[in-house]
Amino acid sequence: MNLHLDDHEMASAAAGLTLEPEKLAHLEGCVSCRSSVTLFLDQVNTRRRAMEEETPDWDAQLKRILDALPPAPVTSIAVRRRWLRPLLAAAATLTIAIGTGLFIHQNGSAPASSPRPEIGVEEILAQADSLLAEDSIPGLDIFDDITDDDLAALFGAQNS
Amino acid sequence: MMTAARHQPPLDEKELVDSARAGDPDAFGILVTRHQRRVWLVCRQYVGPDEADAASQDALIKAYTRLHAFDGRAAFSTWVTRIAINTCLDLLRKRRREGLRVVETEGDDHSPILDIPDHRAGPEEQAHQRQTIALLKEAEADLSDRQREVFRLRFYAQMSLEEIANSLDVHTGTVKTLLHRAVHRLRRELGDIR
Repeated sequence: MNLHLDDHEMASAAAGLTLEPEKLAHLEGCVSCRSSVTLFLDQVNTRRRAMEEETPDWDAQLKRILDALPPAPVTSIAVRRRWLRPLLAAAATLTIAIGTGLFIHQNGSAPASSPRPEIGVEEILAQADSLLAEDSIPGLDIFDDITDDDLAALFGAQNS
Repeated sequence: MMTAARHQPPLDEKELVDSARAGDPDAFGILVTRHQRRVWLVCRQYVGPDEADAASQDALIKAYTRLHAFDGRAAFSTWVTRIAINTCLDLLRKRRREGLRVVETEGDDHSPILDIPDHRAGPEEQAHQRQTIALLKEAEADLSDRQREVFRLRFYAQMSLEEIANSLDVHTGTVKTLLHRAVHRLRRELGDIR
C-alpha cells in the first residue's frame, strides 16, 4: 500500500520529528506529500528571515556589553562571603547574649524578688489581740486622758 | 598591562569560560560573539523586536556576572539561553506588575516594512510574503503559550529539541509533543491541510 501521510504524520514531518520508515519512504517519493510539508516550511522560513532582518549591529552590541561589564566577574568565594557576613553577625549576637546571661548568673545577683514567707492566720489574730489589749486605738491617743467628769461637764453644758 | 592571554585568547569554550572567570574580557568577548545571535533570537521570541536588543544585552552581562555558577554540565549555549529566557520572563513579569501593555510573544512588528523579508523581491512577491507572515502570526496567536514558545524556539531561534528541553527544563518528549501539536494546529489554521 502507498497511502499518503495523514495530518498527524504530515505535522511530524514538518516539525522534523521521527516518522515510521515506510512513511518516510513514501514522503521521499510523493510529490504531493512533500510539497505540502515544503509549503509549511516555506511559510515559516519567510517569517524567520523577516525576523533576522531586524537583528542589531552585532559589533555595536558587543562593545556595549564589554563597556558595561563589571571589573571582574563575581567569584564563588565572593558569593559565599556574601552569605557569610550576616551569618557571622548573627553568631556574634548570640554569643554576646549567652555570655551576658552567664556573667549575671555567676556573679550571684539575687533574683528581683524572693517570695515572702506566708504569715499564719493565728499569728495575725495574736497581733490584733495584743493591740486591743493596750486599750488604745492608734491615732486616737489624745482622747485617752479625758475623764468621765470631763465628759459630763461637756455634755451638761451642751444640754443646758 | 595587556597579558599574553588577552592577545591570544583561547578558542576552546571551556578555556574561554575559565579565562573570562579570571577576569579576561577578551575571552568573554569571544563568547559573546559566538552566542549573541542566538541569544538575540531567543529574546526576540519573548519580548519582541523593540526590546530584544536590550534584553539580550542584559542576559549576556548577567551571564558574565554569574560565570562562577556555570558548572559545565550543560553546554555554555544552553546555559546562556536559559539566562536569556529567564531575563525575558522577568521583564514580562515586571511589565505586568507595572500595568504596562505586555508585548505578546508573537512579537510586535509595528512596521510593515519589517515583515518584508526580501527587499529585492518584486511588489507582488513582497505582498505575498507580507500576507504569509501576517497569517502565520495570527495562527501562532491561537496556540497555547507553551506550544508557541516551543514552536518559536525551534523554528525561529533554530534550537534543537534537546536544547529546548534543557533550556525549559522539561523532557525532550514533552517538547516533541508540544511541537507536533503546534505544527498540526498551524497547518490547519493556514489551510495547508488537504
